[in-house]
Parts: sequence; structure tokens; C-alpha cells
Amino acid sequence: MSNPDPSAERELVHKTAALARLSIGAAEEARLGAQFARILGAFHSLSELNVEGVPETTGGPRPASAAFGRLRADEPRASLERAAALVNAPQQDGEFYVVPKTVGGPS
Amino acid sequence: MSAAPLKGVVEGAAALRAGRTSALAEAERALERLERTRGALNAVLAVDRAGALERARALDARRARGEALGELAGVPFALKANMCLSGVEANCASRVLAGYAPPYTATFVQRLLDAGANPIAIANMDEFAMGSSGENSAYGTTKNPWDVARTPGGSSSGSAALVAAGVVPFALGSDTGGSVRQPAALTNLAGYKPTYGRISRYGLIAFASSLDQVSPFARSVADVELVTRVMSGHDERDTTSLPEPAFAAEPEPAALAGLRIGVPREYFPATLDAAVRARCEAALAELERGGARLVPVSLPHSEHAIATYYVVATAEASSNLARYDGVRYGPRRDGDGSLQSMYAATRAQGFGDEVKRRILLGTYVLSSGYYDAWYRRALKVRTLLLRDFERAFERCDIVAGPTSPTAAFKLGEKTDDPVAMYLSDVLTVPASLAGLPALSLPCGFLDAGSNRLPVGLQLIGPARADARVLALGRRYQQLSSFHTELSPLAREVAA
Amino acid sequence: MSATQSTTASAATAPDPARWKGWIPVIGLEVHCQLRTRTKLFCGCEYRFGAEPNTRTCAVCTAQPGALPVLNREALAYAIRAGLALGADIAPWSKFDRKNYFYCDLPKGYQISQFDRPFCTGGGITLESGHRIRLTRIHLEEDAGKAIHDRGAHTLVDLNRAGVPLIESVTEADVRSPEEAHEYLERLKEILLHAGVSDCDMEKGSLRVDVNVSIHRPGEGWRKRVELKNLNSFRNVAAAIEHEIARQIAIYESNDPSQQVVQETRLYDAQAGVTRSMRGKEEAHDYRYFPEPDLLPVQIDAAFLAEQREKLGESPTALRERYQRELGLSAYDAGVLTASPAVSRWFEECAKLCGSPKDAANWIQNEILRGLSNEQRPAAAIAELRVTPAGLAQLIGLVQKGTLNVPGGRQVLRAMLETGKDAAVLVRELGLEQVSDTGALEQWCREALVGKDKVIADVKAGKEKAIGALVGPVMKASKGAANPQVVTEILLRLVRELP
Repeated sequence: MSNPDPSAERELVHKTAALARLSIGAAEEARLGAQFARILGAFHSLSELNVEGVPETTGGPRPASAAFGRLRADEPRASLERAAALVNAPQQDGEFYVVPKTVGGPS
Repeated sequence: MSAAPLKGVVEGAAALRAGRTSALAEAERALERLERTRGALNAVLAVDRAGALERARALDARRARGEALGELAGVPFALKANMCLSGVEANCASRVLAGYAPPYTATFVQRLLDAGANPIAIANMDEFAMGSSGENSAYGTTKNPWDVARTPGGSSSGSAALVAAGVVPFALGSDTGGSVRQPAALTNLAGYKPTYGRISRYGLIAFASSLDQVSPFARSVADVELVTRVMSGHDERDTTSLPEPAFAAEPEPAALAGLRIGVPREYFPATLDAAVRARCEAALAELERGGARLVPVSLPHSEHAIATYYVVATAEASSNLARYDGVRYGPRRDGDGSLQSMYAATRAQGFGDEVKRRILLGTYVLSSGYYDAWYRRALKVRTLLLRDFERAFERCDIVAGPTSPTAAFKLGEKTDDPVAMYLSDVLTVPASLAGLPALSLPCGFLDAGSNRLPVGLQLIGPARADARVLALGRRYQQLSSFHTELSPLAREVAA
Repeated sequence: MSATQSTTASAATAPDPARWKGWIPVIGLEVHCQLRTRTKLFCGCEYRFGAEPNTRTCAVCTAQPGALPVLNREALAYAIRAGLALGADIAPWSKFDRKNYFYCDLPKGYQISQFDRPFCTGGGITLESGHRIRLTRIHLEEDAGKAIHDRGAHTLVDLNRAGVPLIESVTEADVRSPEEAHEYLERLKEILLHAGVSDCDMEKGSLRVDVNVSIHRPGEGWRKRVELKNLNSFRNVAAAIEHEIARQIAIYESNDPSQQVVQETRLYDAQAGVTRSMRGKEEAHDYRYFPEPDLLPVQIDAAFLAEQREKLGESPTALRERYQRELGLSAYDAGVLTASPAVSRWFEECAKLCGSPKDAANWIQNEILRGLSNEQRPAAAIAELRVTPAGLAQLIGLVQKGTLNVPGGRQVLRAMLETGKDAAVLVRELGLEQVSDTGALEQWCREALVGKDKVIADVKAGKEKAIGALVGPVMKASKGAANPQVVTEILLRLVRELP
């Protein structure tokens, strides 16, 4: 899981940064790579535990009596005024959020 | 030294209702103290002077008309910069949210407003609540009012500093892995993290959704309890909030007779600062003299809590922070002109180092090929940690131990070593992972050169036993007077 | 798509292997349907297609920091009803997961969807041939907003649609031809319409289809699959599959190593009739699904399930059988009248009121549906007509009683559709009551016989049919109000009476 090879650490940071949409320069990659390895190394004890058959705690812990979510009635609530929705946007035209031209959809 | 010149929450609200002070006078005094300490502390990111004065005048007018006033009428307070008050900048101490004013108000803030409390300022913090020292703010480090060369703790650094400096009688922080309890311990305050779900998270800007809890600071346990009670109760806008209404206070167990206080051996490791150990043991001895029974217990998976916490919290954070992409809010950086490079540039420029580290770590533990080894495994270990507590609570009513392994450390001491910084959360993250109510309260001081530094005792209760934890805390504050001691800065302010 | 190959034995109905030079297509369909709730999946914004951009959003669906989702009960109810209608198993509890990716129409940077515990698993649709298309799963998720690329130098983002509830139904790779895909989609749409969970309107984007296509040789394993998007009608789905199969065959048979079928997403260009690669380089997706911590698991208890079963009503198949069995309609008529629940409800009400399902079926098919066939949305349109089932039933009654003839009835119905007035009122206003006053009719008939010696002679010689030539002029003289049968009788009597 943690890798002693610094180029592998850098590569891992590089790939992960791309997935997380963080542009990171070469120097930062090397620095973060080293820290990354140290952090994962410190957390390595997790892999030594026997967790066979242990259920996962997902979300915040809940008492059994409140284990399931409450539902909302399908009743409208007021939407935001458009101006209030757009006010914090770095670029907008009064109707839309404006972003760099993109084609080809999500990736 | 007595706290007389500084009013607490319960006391201040009573004085206002009795007409011994006005909301305007309290707001003005708080704003004045805020300005006086601003340079020394750097605890504030924004001041809502106009709003605070307007709310104070409206409240005084209501009092003049003889209208009923809320439980927190006229009490000034500070919000952490990750909390939403419509129109007031909540930037999470991050460049990525610079200038962001939410278009809505958090449920817990609204409940405080409805009770008459008056928000005057937005407190500094570690960026996105990620940090244990206040040093990860994009807007400068907050100082500890007990020793300005030291950390007030984090991530709720500014909120703790403002209360410890006597600027406001209470402030809100958020506690994800100890972000209120640890600064409370380091600044001689009561800091209370309620049971997960006790207070709605609607309007608390998320770091790690399954761990985040709004948590107040005040000088006394009675004060944090009142504030907690006002904010608590189910909120239809947060399905993870507990279904029941606000909890009722319990009388403090006067004799403590029969109360079993579990002392986990894992919370007193060999590496624990000797003075911290001594103060905590003294506090436990005091409780024992008061009639409580100390029971040795074990929380055997505690050594895995830090790793579990950092895997779970960063995984959630990597997703929670994906929305900061320069489309709907926050400053944008252009990159090479494409959408995806705009994202990468905006985020790279907008987030600080620690946030980036945690986004990377969280992205990594969720990514294909690593999910089972890290994330899924951490969810299972989280169950083991929960079971540890369940077993301990078969033998005791409350678990007690130190809040922080050390007193306030020097600024800059751990900034180059993320792992050392993470380890300062070792005693607070287990209760976070288990969703349990946990209180830190002052239990003494240690000498550090010319300064005295506060030490905190942590009380952890079973899920939903908020009233029990707080009642024991109140009882301890009847037996002790550490909480009445003021920081050098607060003494100056109060003079 | 599941990796298990269909083993349903319907070889008899399988497409002719010669059709694709021995290649076997393997096709799976993923259909997204917007649920017709009033509000979005996780917030109270009221979605309306075509609303002004960014006017139907709030803190939750624009991903304001700190805002949290709360599940809409009705959306859950519709998802469960869709599952029941398609014969799926409903999970006793389910949960949501986050699907993480970055795009400008996805405000949170993740979509709240379902990963490993969807609300519904299994189920399917059996085609006319008997071949069954199995469903892998149906899950509930939120829609993304809309990115508009064709206006100026920038991409514009409208978040009105962000957070609208969708169900995604995924089939096993059981579809074997473009025709089967088309039929499956028709049937799916019909079922979801009858379940009342979606408008299924491709024009408005409330139904969207993605297709996975691969081909292989008999006996070998599956090859690379291609995902097709941008399919805006069922016809285009079928056409795109046909083209994609041909494209893949051409590549495999070209023996040119520079040509490869790659696992990718291709967009269908309906005008050019080709599929085009969506991006130059296909990045591997890593959605990093994990349980949504802002939402608790959802329990589907017996009472909730029973409530949904009750609200589901009859399936289109059951309706068709009942129309044939109980109402005596032909299979064809039953099919037409059950194409949408709005039409079948309309028909049933009218049939009950006029007492003759066959008459109601004829009038609705010949007059109402034909008139609507130019409209894009007969299901919605029939509900918006100015004629009610009771109105048509009254008209049918007038025709049954002989007050009105069939052409007159058509004329009245047209006027009803235009004005919304009652049939009886219009019959009077248009002067269309059939003239049974034999005095007037006799006068017109006598006039019609003047100078028609040839016809009279023919009739007298036994060729009674010749009289038909004179019925028209009488009808004309009566302005269409005469009963043609009565006119014929009078004319014949008058001829016989002639010397």
C-alpha cells in the first residue's frame, strides 16, 4: 500500500491529483508524494487487524430506533430568486452560470 | 481571580431580562473587545457590526414593549467561518470560498437567533476545519490568549480564542475529530460535542458528514449546555438529525454516589505528557472523593482510531469538497481555457496544503483498487471502535480521560509534520467515530516558562446521554474553580 | 451491463444469422426516466420543463455549501411502483451512494445515486415473440442540470433540472436486434405510463435511452462494447444500433490493424445516420462510489409496499386482455386503446356512459385519435381536449337513436372539439337533426325525380340500386339532415306509384 519507491509515490500522487482535479506541479508532487507515503505508512496498522465478518458503519452512528431516514412530502417550497442563486458565481450573464466552452460531456 | 467582570451566557441573558443591561450595550461591549484583541489574536475573519447592532436594537425594542424574550436574549456570540448566516461571508478560511456569502441561514443559527442570541463575528479556523492548531487558515494563524506564541488548538481556533479572551460569552465551533474539545482544553474552556445528530448540520459547511457536529464553547458547562439545548432537536432539513426534540437538562448528581466513571487505560499511555496525566488524575480523584466510583475499562481498538478517522474523514471530505470548482461560487482560475483545467487550476490555487493532502488521501482511499483495503476496512474498524465503547458502557456510566495529550504547543512546532499533527487528535477521534457525546472541561494548569497553560478533562457518555455528561460536568465545576480563571488577555479585556 | 449471457431459449425467434454475416449482436439498454413528482428528489423546488433558466433552484440543488438532501417520499413511491409494474423484486431496505465526477452540470461534484443496493432488482419485459428482456436493476437517482454549448463562445449552465428524480432501468444484454430494442422501449414506455410514474416524453427529455452494443462470432466470448448516446427517439435508437452493428462488422472484417473497435461512448447523428466518437481519448472512469453519509438508509416496509401495489392499477397487458374478453374488442383495437393510460381511461369512461364499447372504440379511434395523431403527445393531449368522454357518449347516443347520421355526427364532433359545446346544442345550431318529416322529404324527392326518366325506367325494370343516384340530390336539398335510408324508401315508393 505504501511504496518505498519515490517515483511510484509521485506517480500515485499524480494520478490521484488528476482524479481530484488538483493541478499540482512537479516539486509539489514530490513533496506530497513523500508525505503521502509517510501518512499511509503511519496508518498501516489498519491492515493488520482482523475484520473478517465485521459489519461496516456507514454514515454517522445511529441508535437502532432511528436507523432509517425520514421522508419529505412532495410539497413545493419556494426556490431562490435567480439573482440570489447567481450572485456568488464568478461568471454569469443574469440567466446562466457561464463556464469555459466544453463539449463532449462529463469525464 | 474571579470571573465577575465577564458575564457568562446564563448570567448575561438573565441580566438582560431583568433590565440590568441592554442588548445594545452587550453588543457594543463585545464589538469593542473584539477590536481591542483583534491584532493580538487574529481570531476574526468578518465582523457583522451593522447586523449585530440592528438585532440588538430590535431586541431592546421588544423588551421595551414588554414582549417575551428568548433564553439567549441579547447574548453576543461568534460563529465559525463554516456556518451559514444569510448574506454574511462564510469562507471556511479558504481562498476557494473567498467572498462567499450564503443565500440561506443554518437551522442551528436560526434557532439561536430565535432565542435572541446575537451573532457579531465570524471566527477564524483551520481551512475547511482541517487542522489541530489554527495554522491552516488562508487568512493567518490565530493565537492562544493564554500565550500568544502558542496554538489555541484547532480547527475551531478563532471561536475558542474569542471566548478565552473574554470577547464573547460563547462561540460556536464544529467538532469532527476533536476540533472543539481540543481547543477548549488548550484555552481553559468548556467545549461540548453532542451526540452525532443532536444538532442539525443544515448550514454547517461539511468537512466529513458522518462526523461533523456543531459544538459550542463557553467558560462554564452550564453555558454550553444551554446553548446546546437551544440548538438541539430534530430538523426536517437534516435527515441525519436525531428524531427527538431538544433534550431536557438533568439535575447534577449532587453526591455522585454510585456513578461509575470508566478510566480507559489506553487514554493514559506512556507518551502522555506527565503534567497532563497528573491534572487529569487529580480531577478523577476529586470526583472519586465526591462519591463517584472509578472503574478501569479498556477501549482496545483506540490505537487504530487515528488511521480510521483519517481514512473515513478524508474520503468524505474529498467528495464534500468537489463542489468547489469555480462555477457557482468562489474565485475562478482559468487554466488553459478548458473546463477541466479551469477546475484543476481553481482548486489548486484555492485550497491550502493540508486541504489538498486530505483531498488526495480521501480520493486515493476511495479509488478503484484501494477502496477495500482502506475505506471499507476503515468502516469495519469503526464498528470495532463503537463496540469498544458499548462494552465499556456495560461497566460504567461515563468514560473519562484527558482531552489532549499535551497542553498548547508552540506555533510552528508541528507544521512540517502532518503525522505528528494528526496524532494530537488521538484522544478525541474515538468519540467522534462512535458518534458519542463528549465534553472537555478545565481541570488544571501546568507551568510552561512564565505562563500557565490549561489542561482539559474529557467526559464521554453513551449515545444520547448528553444530559448525563453535561450534568456531571456541571457537578465537577461545583467541586472545582479552574474554569473561573481567565486568560491574561481576558483579564486585560475585563479590566 | 451484466456479464451473464442470456440463456433464455428463444432460438426460434432469434434474428436470422445471415442478416449480419453471421455476427451476433449483443445489446443492452439503459433507460433514464424522469419521475413525475411535483418537487425534486432531495429538495422542494418545483421543476417545470421549459421554465426560465435557473429559476427553479435552491440552496440544496445548487450545492450551496452546508445544504443537505432530504428524500421525497413520492419519488420513492414512484420508483417502487415502476419496479412492481416491471415485476422486479423490491429490496426491504435500500441506500444511496455518491457517484463522484466533475462536470459543470453536476453542482455537488457527485451525483446521489445507488450503487450496490438499488430499490429494485430483476424483473423484465416479455416481447411479442416470447423472448424475455431481463432487467438487472432499477435505481433512483438525481438528474444533472443542463449545459448549453451552442450559444456563443461559452458554455451556459442551467440548474433547473439538477436534482429532478430519475429512475434508471438497466437490462441484461438480452436484446438481439434493433427491432427488439424498439419493441422493448415501446413496451417499457407503455408500462411506465400506465404505472403513472413518468410522462416518458423523449421530446422533453423525460425519457432518455443509452445503448450498449457489441458483436461477436457464434461460440466466442463477448467483444468490446460501445455505448451509444444522443438518441432522441425510439426510431433513432433502432437506427443507431443498426449503424453501429454495421460499423463494428466493417471494422472486424477489414483486417486493417489500424481500425479497432474500442470501448467508448459514441454519439448518434440522426441526420448523417452515423455514430461519432464522443472524445478523442477515453479516460477510464473512477466514480469512487461510497455510501452517501447525508442520507440514512431507507426502509420499504410492508405497508408502504402495499400502498404502492394498490396505487399501481392494471398493467397494459391485463387491460388489453380484459378489453378483448369483456368488451369484445379486437386485439388491434385493444392495443390502440391501451397505448396510454389517459386514452384507456378516456375510452372506459365513454364506453360505460354510451353503453357500447365497440361504438366508443370506433369513434375514439377514427375521430379522436386520428385527429390527435398530428400531435406529438396523444397521452397528454386527450386529457386536454375540449370534448369529455361524457360529451362523446352523448353524441354516440344521438347517432344510436337516429337523431343524427354518421356524417352529421362527425361534423358535430369537429364542432365540439373546436367550441367545447354540447352535442345536443350543436345539432340544433347546425340544423343537423335528421329530417323525418315525410312531407318535406316527399317534396324534395318529387323534385329529384323530375326529368329522371332513365332512372325511373331502370328501377321499374327491377334495378333498384339505380335509385342511389337520386339520394344524393335529396340529401343536398336537406343540407345533409335527411336520413338517407328514409329518403331511399320514399323514392322507391314514389317510383312504384308512378304510372
